[in-house]
Amino acid sequence: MAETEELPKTIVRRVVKEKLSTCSDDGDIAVHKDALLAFSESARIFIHYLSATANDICRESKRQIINAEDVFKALEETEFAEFVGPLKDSLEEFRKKNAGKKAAVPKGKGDEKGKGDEEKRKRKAEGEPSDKGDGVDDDQ
Amino acid sequence: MASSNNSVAENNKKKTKKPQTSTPTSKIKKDNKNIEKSKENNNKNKKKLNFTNGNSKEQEESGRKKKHAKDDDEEEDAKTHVFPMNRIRTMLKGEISDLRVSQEAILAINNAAEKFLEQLAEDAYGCCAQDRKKSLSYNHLSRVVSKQKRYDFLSDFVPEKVKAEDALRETNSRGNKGG
Repeated sequence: MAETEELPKTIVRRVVKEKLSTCSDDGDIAVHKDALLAFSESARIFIHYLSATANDICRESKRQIINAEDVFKALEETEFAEFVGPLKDSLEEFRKKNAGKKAAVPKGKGDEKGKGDEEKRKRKAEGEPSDKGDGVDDDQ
Repeated sequence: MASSNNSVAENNKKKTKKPQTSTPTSKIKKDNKNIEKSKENNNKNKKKLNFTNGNSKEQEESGRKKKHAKDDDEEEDAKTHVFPMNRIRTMLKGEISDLRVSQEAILAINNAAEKFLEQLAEDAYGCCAQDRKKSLSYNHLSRVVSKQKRYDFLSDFVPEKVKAEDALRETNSRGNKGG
Protein backbone atom coordinates (compact mmCIF):
# COMPACT_ATOMS: atom_id res chain seq x y z
CA MET A 1 0.00 0.00 0.00
CA ALA A 2 1.21 3.46 -0.82
CA GLU A 3 2.47 5.40 2.13
CA THR A 4 0.20 8.31 1.32
CA GLU A 5 -2.80 6.13 2.06
CA GLU A 6 -1.67 5.40 5.57
CA LEU A 7 -1.79 7.60 8.61
CA PRO A 8 1.54 9.05 9.76
CA LYS A 9 2.98 6.57 12.26
CA THR A 10 4.54 9.24 14.46
CA ILE A 11 1.21 10.96 14.99
CA VAL A 12 -0.55 7.66 15.70
CA ARG A 13 2.12 6.80 18.24
CA ARG A 14 1.84 10.21 19.89
CA VAL A 15 -1.95 10.06 20.19
CA VAL A 16 -1.87 6.53 21.61
CA LYS A 17 1.00 7.28 24.00
CA GLU A 18 -0.65 10.44 25.28
CA LYS A 19 -3.90 8.63 25.88
CA LEU A 20 -2.17 5.77 27.66
CA SER A 21 -0.26 8.14 29.90
CA THR A 22 -3.55 9.70 31.04
CA CYS A 23 -5.04 6.22 31.59
CA SER A 24 -2.28 4.69 33.66
CA ASP A 25 -1.42 5.87 37.14
CA ASP A 26 2.08 4.47 37.33
CA GLY A 27 4.63 5.17 34.65
CA ASP A 28 4.66 4.72 30.92
CA ILE A 29 2.96 1.86 29.19
CA ALA A 30 5.12 0.38 26.48
CA VAL A 31 3.39 -0.25 23.18
CA HIS A 32 4.53 -3.22 21.13
CA LYS A 33 5.42 -2.56 17.54
CA ASP A 34 2.72 -4.85 16.18
CA ALA A 35 0.18 -3.22 18.50
CA LEU A 36 1.10 0.18 17.13
CA LEU A 37 0.72 -1.13 13.60
CA ALA A 38 -2.69 -2.49 14.55
CA PHE A 39 -3.64 0.91 15.98
CA SER A 40 -2.61 2.63 12.78
CA GLU A 41 -4.44 0.12 10.59
CA SER A 42 -7.54 0.30 12.77
CA ALA A 43 -7.67 4.07 12.44
CA ARG A 44 -7.25 3.79 8.69
CA ILE A 45 -10.05 1.25 8.42
CA PHE A 46 -12.17 3.40 10.69
CA ILE A 47 -11.71 6.38 8.37
CA HIS A 48 -12.83 4.33 5.38
CA TYR A 49 -15.71 2.80 7.31
CA LEU A 50 -16.86 6.20 8.51
CA SER A 51 -16.53 7.88 5.12
CA ALA A 52 -18.37 5.05 3.38
CA THR A 53 -21.20 5.34 5.88
CA ALA A 54 -21.26 9.12 5.47
CA ASN A 55 -21.27 8.66 1.71
CA ASP A 56 -24.34 6.43 1.94
CA ILE A 57 -26.13 8.96 4.15
CA CYS A 58 -25.24 11.73 1.72
CA ARG A 59 -26.58 9.78 -1.26
CA GLU A 60 -29.77 8.91 0.56
CA SER A 61 -30.50 12.62 0.88
CA LYS A 62 -29.57 13.05 -2.80
CA ARG A 63 -26.72 15.47 -2.28
CA GLN A 64 -23.41 15.46 -4.10
CA ILE A 65 -20.93 16.56 -1.47
CA ILE A 66 -20.43 14.96 1.90
CA ASN A 67 -20.66 17.55 4.67
CA ALA A 68 -19.83 17.50 8.35
CA GLU A 69 -23.43 16.71 9.29
CA ASP A 70 -23.26 13.49 7.26
CA VAL A 71 -20.15 12.49 9.17
CA PHE A 72 -21.89 13.12 12.50
CA LYS A 73 -24.84 11.01 11.43
CA ALA A 74 -22.45 8.32 10.28
CA LEU A 75 -20.81 8.35 13.71
CA GLU A 76 -24.17 7.83 15.34
CA GLU A 77 -24.93 4.99 12.99
CA THR A 78 -21.61 3.29 13.68
CA GLU A 79 -22.14 3.44 17.45
CA PHE A 80 -19.56 6.14 18.08
CA ALA A 81 -22.14 8.79 18.91
CA GLU A 82 -20.16 10.02 21.91
CA PHE A 83 -17.62 11.59 19.55
CA VAL A 84 -20.18 13.91 18.00
CA GLY A 85 -20.28 16.48 20.82
CA PRO A 86 -16.56 17.23 20.96
CA LEU A 87 -16.34 17.12 17.17
CA LYS A 88 -18.99 19.79 16.84
CA ASP A 89 -17.01 21.97 19.21
CA SER A 90 -13.82 21.67 17.19
CA LEU A 91 -15.77 22.24 13.97
CA GLU A 92 -17.10 25.46 15.44
CA GLU A 93 -13.55 26.47 16.30
CA PHE A 94 -12.48 25.67 12.77
CA ARG A 95 -15.26 27.85 11.37
CA LYS A 96 -14.35 30.73 13.62
CA LYS A 97 -10.72 30.44 12.64
CA ASN A 98 -11.56 30.45 8.94
CA ALA A 99 -13.87 33.43 9.36
CA GLY A 100 -11.03 35.26 11.13
CA LYS A 101 -8.63 34.44 8.31
CA LYS A 102 -11.04 35.73 5.71
CA ALA A 103 -11.59 38.95 7.64
CA ALA A 104 -7.83 39.40 7.95
CA VAL A 105 -7.38 39.36 4.16
CA PRO A 106 -9.21 42.38 2.79
CA LYS A 107 -9.74 42.08 -0.97
CA GLY A 108 -12.51 44.05 -2.67
CA LYS A 109 -14.56 41.16 -3.99
CA GLY A 110 -13.22 38.67 -1.54
CA ASP A 111 -14.44 40.81 1.31
CA GLU A 112 -18.01 40.78 0.16
CA LYS A 113 -17.82 37.12 -0.55
CA GLY A 114 -16.30 36.51 2.85
CA LYS A 115 -19.06 38.47 4.48
CA GLY A 116 -21.63 36.44 2.67
CA ASP A 117 -19.96 33.26 3.81
CA GLU A 118 -19.76 34.50 7.35
CA GLU A 119 -23.41 35.36 7.38
CA LYS A 120 -24.24 31.99 6.00
CA ARG A 121 -22.14 30.40 8.70
CA LYS A 122 -23.82 32.46 11.36
CA ARG A 123 -27.20 31.39 10.11
CA LYS A 124 -26.04 27.83 10.02
CA ALA A 125 -24.64 28.13 13.52
CA GLU A 126 -27.86 29.63 14.75
CA GLY A 127 -29.84 26.85 13.16
CA GLU A 128 -27.89 24.21 15.03
CA PRO A 129 -27.39 25.36 18.59
CA SER A 130 -30.17 23.32 20.17
CA ASP A 131 -28.91 19.90 19.16
CA LYS A 132 -25.32 21.01 19.51
CA GLY A 133 -25.94 22.09 23.08
CA ASP A 134 -27.57 18.75 23.81
CA GLY A 135 -24.61 16.90 22.43
CA VAL A 136 -22.20 18.84 24.61
CA ASP A 137 -24.32 18.40 27.72
CA ASP A 138 -24.66 14.70 27.13
CA ASP A 139 -20.96 14.34 26.77
CA GLN A 140 -19.92 16.36 29.74
CA MET B 1 46.61 47.31 18.03
CA ALA B 2 43.38 46.36 16.46
CA SER B 3 41.36 48.26 18.97
CA SER B 4 43.43 51.42 18.58
CA ASN B 5 43.13 51.13 14.82
CA ASN B 6 39.43 50.84 15.12
CA SER B 7 39.16 53.86 17.32
CA VAL B 8 41.26 55.84 14.84
CA ALA B 9 39.11 54.58 12.09
CA GLU B 10 36.07 55.80 13.91
CA ASN B 11 37.66 59.18 14.37
CA ASN B 12 38.42 59.25 10.69
CA LYS B 13 34.90 58.38 9.85
CA LYS B 14 33.74 61.33 11.82
CA LYS B 15 36.31 63.45 10.06
CA THR B 16 35.42 62.17 6.62
CA LYS B 17 31.88 63.27 7.17
CA LYS B 18 33.06 66.85 7.12
CA PRO B 19 36.65 66.29 6.23
CA GLN B 20 38.34 69.22 4.54
CA THR B 21 36.37 72.04 6.09
CA SER B 22 38.93 72.37 8.80
CA THR B 23 42.39 73.39 7.66
CA PRO B 24 44.68 70.61 8.63
CA THR B 25 48.40 71.23 8.88
CA SER B 26 50.72 69.41 6.52
CA LYS B 27 52.04 67.29 9.32
CA ILE B 28 48.66 66.07 10.19
CA LYS B 29 47.95 65.54 6.54
CA LYS B 30 50.97 63.33 6.19
CA ASP B 31 50.06 61.41 9.24
CA ASN B 32 46.50 61.19 8.12
CA LYS B 33 47.43 59.99 4.65
CA ASN B 34 49.07 56.92 6.04
CA ILE B 35 46.36 56.36 8.50
CA GLU B 36 43.67 57.09 5.97
CA LYS B 37 44.96 54.41 3.65
CA SER B 38 44.78 51.85 6.35
CA LYS B 39 41.46 53.26 7.35
CA GLU B 40 40.11 53.10 3.87
CA ASN B 41 41.00 49.48 3.82
CA ASN B 42 39.48 49.08 7.22
CA ASN B 43 36.40 50.95 6.17
CA LYS B 44 36.04 48.88 3.06
CA ASN B 45 36.29 45.77 5.09
CA LYS B 46 33.94 47.22 7.62
CA LYS B 47 31.51 48.28 4.97
CA LYS B 48 31.60 44.89 3.43
CA LEU B 49 31.19 43.28 6.75
CA ASN B 50 28.42 45.61 7.68
CA PHE B 51 26.74 45.00 4.40
CA THR B 52 26.84 41.27 4.73
CA ASN B 53 25.89 41.53 8.34
CA GLY B 54 22.92 43.66 7.52
CA ASN B 55 21.82 41.32 4.81
CA SER B 56 22.17 38.22 6.86
CA LYS B 57 20.36 39.89 9.71
CA GLU B 58 17.51 40.80 7.44
CA GLN B 59 17.42 37.30 6.11
CA GLU B 60 17.48 35.93 9.59
CA GLU B 61 14.71 38.22 10.64
CA SER B 62 12.53 37.43 7.69
CA GLY B 63 13.31 33.78 8.21
CA ARG B 64 12.32 34.09 11.81
CA LYS B 65 9.14 35.88 10.86
CA LYS B 66 8.30 33.17 8.38
CA LYS B 67 9.11 30.55 10.94
CA HIS B 68 6.93 32.29 13.49
CA ALA B 69 4.10 32.55 11.04
CA LYS B 70 4.50 28.87 10.26
CA ASP B 71 4.61 27.97 13.92
CA ASP B 72 1.51 30.00 14.56
CA ASP B 73 -0.26 28.28 11.72
CA GLU B 74 0.83 24.91 12.97
CA GLU B 75 -0.23 25.75 16.47
CA GLU B 76 -3.61 26.88 15.24
CA ASP B 77 -3.91 23.78 13.15
CA ALA B 78 -2.93 21.65 16.09
CA LYS B 79 -5.91 23.01 17.94
CA THR B 80 -8.43 21.76 15.43
CA HIS B 81 -6.91 18.56 14.06
CA VAL B 82 -3.96 16.21 14.51
CA PHE B 83 -3.68 14.40 11.20
CA PRO B 84 -2.72 16.20 8.01
CA MET B 85 -5.88 17.17 6.13
CA ASN B 86 -4.40 16.35 2.74
CA ARG B 87 -3.52 12.86 3.89
CA ILE B 88 -7.10 12.20 4.90
CA ARG B 89 -8.30 13.54 1.58
CA THR B 90 -5.97 11.31 -0.43
CA MET B 91 -7.00 8.35 1.69
CA LEU B 92 -10.64 9.01 0.91
CA LYS B 93 -9.96 9.57 -2.78
CA GLY B 94 -8.00 6.34 -2.88
CA GLU B 95 -11.06 4.42 -1.80
CA ILE B 96 -13.69 6.13 -3.94
CA SER B 97 -12.10 8.21 -6.68
CA ASP B 98 -15.14 10.36 -7.46
CA LEU B 99 -15.87 11.04 -3.81
CA ARG B 100 -16.79 14.64 -3.09
CA VAL B 101 -16.18 15.79 0.45
CA SER B 102 -16.34 19.24 2.02
CA GLN B 103 -13.39 20.51 4.00
CA GLU B 104 -15.51 20.49 7.14
CA ALA B 105 -16.38 16.85 6.64
CA ILE B 106 -12.70 16.02 6.31
CA LEU B 107 -12.03 17.90 9.51
CA ALA B 108 -14.78 15.93 11.22
CA ILE B 109 -13.34 12.64 9.93
CA ASN B 110 -9.88 13.75 11.02
CA ASN B 111 -11.04 14.47 14.55
CA ALA B 112 -13.16 11.35 14.63
CA ALA B 113 -10.09 9.28 13.77
CA GLU B 114 -8.21 10.86 16.67
CA LYS B 115 -11.08 10.18 19.07
CA PHE B 116 -11.33 6.67 17.78
CA LEU B 117 -7.64 6.03 18.39
CA GLU B 118 -7.95 7.39 21.91
CA GLN B 119 -11.01 5.24 22.59
CA LEU B 120 -9.31 2.15 21.24
CA ALA B 121 -6.21 2.90 23.29
CA GLU B 122 -8.30 3.32 26.42
CA ASP B 123 -10.17 0.06 25.86
CA ALA B 124 -6.95 -1.79 25.07
CA TYR B 125 -5.39 -0.34 28.20
CA GLY B 126 -8.29 -1.76 30.21
CA CYS B 127 -7.45 -5.16 28.79
CA CYS B 128 -3.79 -4.60 29.50
CA ALA B 129 -4.51 -3.62 33.10
CA GLN B 130 -6.58 -6.78 33.56
CA ASP B 131 -3.51 -8.78 32.63
CA ARG B 132 -1.42 -6.60 34.96
CA LYS B 133 1.02 -6.02 32.16
CA LYS B 134 3.11 -2.93 31.69
CA SER B 135 3.16 -3.20 27.95
CA LEU B 136 0.37 -3.11 25.43
CA SER B 137 0.53 -5.93 22.92
CA TYR B 138 -1.37 -6.91 19.81
CA ASN B 139 -3.40 -9.48 21.73
CA HIS B 140 -4.91 -6.81 23.96
CA LEU B 141 -6.12 -4.98 20.90
CA SER B 142 -7.52 -8.03 19.16
CA ARG B 143 -9.30 -9.07 22.35
CA VAL B 144 -10.97 -5.65 22.58
CA VAL B 145 -11.97 -5.85 18.94
CA SER B 146 -13.53 -9.28 19.36
CA LYS B 147 -15.29 -8.30 22.60
CA GLN B 148 -16.98 -5.04 21.70
CA LYS B 149 -19.66 -5.10 19.10
CA ARG B 150 -18.92 -1.67 17.72
CA TYR B 151 -15.41 -2.76 16.76
CA ASP B 152 -16.84 -5.54 14.58
CA PHE B 153 -15.77 -3.79 11.41
CA LEU B 154 -12.16 -4.35 12.47
CA SER B 155 -12.48 -8.06 13.06
CA ASP B 156 -10.99 -8.95 9.68
CA PHE B 157 -8.12 -6.54 10.07
CA VAL B 158 -7.23 -7.10 13.72
CA PRO B 159 -8.07 -10.78 14.13
CA GLU B 160 -7.29 -12.75 17.26
CA LYS B 161 -4.16 -14.77 16.91
CA VAL B 162 -4.87 -18.46 16.68
CA LYS B 163 -2.39 -21.28 16.86
CA ALA B 164 -1.86 -22.89 13.49
CA GLU B 165 -2.76 -26.37 14.73
CA ASP B 166 -6.00 -25.06 16.25
CA ALA B 167 -6.91 -23.30 13.04
CA LEU B 168 -6.07 -26.40 11.00
CA ARG B 169 -8.08 -28.63 13.28
CA GLU B 170 -11.04 -26.26 13.01
CA THR B 171 -10.94 -26.08 9.22
CA ASN B 172 -10.49 -29.84 9.03
CA SER B 173 -13.46 -30.48 11.26
CA ARG B 174 -15.49 -28.02 9.24
CA GLY B 175 -14.41 -29.74 6.06
CA ASN B 176 -15.40 -33.11 7.49
CA LYS B 177 -18.75 -31.77 8.56
CA GLY B 178 -19.30 -30.22 5.16
CA GLY B 179 -18.21 -33.40 3.37
